[in-house]
Amino acid sequence: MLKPKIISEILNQVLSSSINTALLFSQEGSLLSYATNKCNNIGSPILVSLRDPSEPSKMIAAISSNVWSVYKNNCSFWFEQNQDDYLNMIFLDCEEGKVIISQAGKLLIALVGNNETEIGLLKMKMNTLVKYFNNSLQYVGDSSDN
Amino acid sequence: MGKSGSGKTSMRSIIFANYIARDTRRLGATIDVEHSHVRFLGNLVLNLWDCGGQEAFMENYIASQRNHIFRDVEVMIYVFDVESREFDKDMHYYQSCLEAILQNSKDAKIFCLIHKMDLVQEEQRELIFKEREIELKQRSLPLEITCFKTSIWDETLYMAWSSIIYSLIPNVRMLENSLQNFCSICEADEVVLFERATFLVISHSTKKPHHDIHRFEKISNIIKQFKLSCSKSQTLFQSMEVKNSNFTAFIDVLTPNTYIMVIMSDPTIQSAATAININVARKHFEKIEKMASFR
Repeated sequence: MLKPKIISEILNQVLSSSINTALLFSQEGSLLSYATNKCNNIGSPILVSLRDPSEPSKMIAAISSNVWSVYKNNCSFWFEQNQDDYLNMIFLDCEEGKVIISQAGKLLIALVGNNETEIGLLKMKMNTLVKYFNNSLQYVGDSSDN
Repeated sequence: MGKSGSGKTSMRSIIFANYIARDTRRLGATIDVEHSHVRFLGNLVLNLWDCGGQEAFMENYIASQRNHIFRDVEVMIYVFDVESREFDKDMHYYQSCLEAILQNSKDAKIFCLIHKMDLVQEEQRELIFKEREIELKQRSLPLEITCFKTSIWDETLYMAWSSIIYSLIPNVRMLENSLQNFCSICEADEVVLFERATFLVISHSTKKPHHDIHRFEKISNIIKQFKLSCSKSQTLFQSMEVKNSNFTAFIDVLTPNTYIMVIMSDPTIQSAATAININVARKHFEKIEKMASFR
């Protein structure tokens, strides 16, 4: 089972001045938990003006999960040939920031940093998060047994 | 059991056959005993014996059919019409029934429903009910009884039946503990478990007190109506999520025999997370249900 508040606290620990959002979401793209800096300015002014504070995170979750599934579905041909080699991380270098997506258990995690963030730092933080969540989220979020 | 026209069949139809209160006017008098089997919580089968209340039948039950009617009784529900003019006569039959119960199945639980409370003025209801309750308790000695005031026009009927059902569920403690755990893990304000077919409350766990003590029965009533209107448009009710600025309510199928309602008031908790939690809990509750059926 998920304790959304505690997950949010854990996610909060990876935030820094240059990494402003961390989120956990399902493969279908629905946001489960997130942490974000108070001075959050993901970039586009449209996002900031929205009333629901979780709205920007929801959008990132939706877009990221879509990107993830596109790669996952279309790359399966390569991955099947070599069992050790599978999609485990995606970096997106966007105009107004950097995004990293990875899988933990059956759920996805994304970190969003601004342009000053180094990709190596994002990757290290992500690895730690994934390692932490991998055990605990093993059984959660399997939508196929619905 | 109860006197003719006191509302036994109406009650049964509303709770177990999806009638709405208005429809019960179409019901005629019950002839002899109507048996019905209600599958409740899957493997629990409720054998309801709706005994016609006309005097001829009553005499019959007490005299010639005594063993047949009163043997192996788990629960006797006796319905009193609050407006009845022949109080002494009612009492006479009631006590005869008690006597028969005492002889044939002395471990039976006994519930008395003071029915048609809607006919009494609002201020007097509590007073009259208390009066009757004391009287009934006194006359039922040495048997312990439980009294409820009911009316088919409001939620009191559901409340009474929920408590009756509650006393019949075998491993209710375990269910309750699991529900308590579930409630604290997903940080919900309140979790309520409903039976699927009847939408009676089985158990609940409350973290934040709520001022309306009749809320469960109201919800049972509302959802049942909603289910009916779903079936009119030829779909089946599966689940719903209601959200406003103060809280989010989830109503979803939990096991093949139960529905769960989860109330969350923390806006920072995403609804998808709660949905996943319900999904995960499903397996656990199904296991409990299976265990119950093995016994």
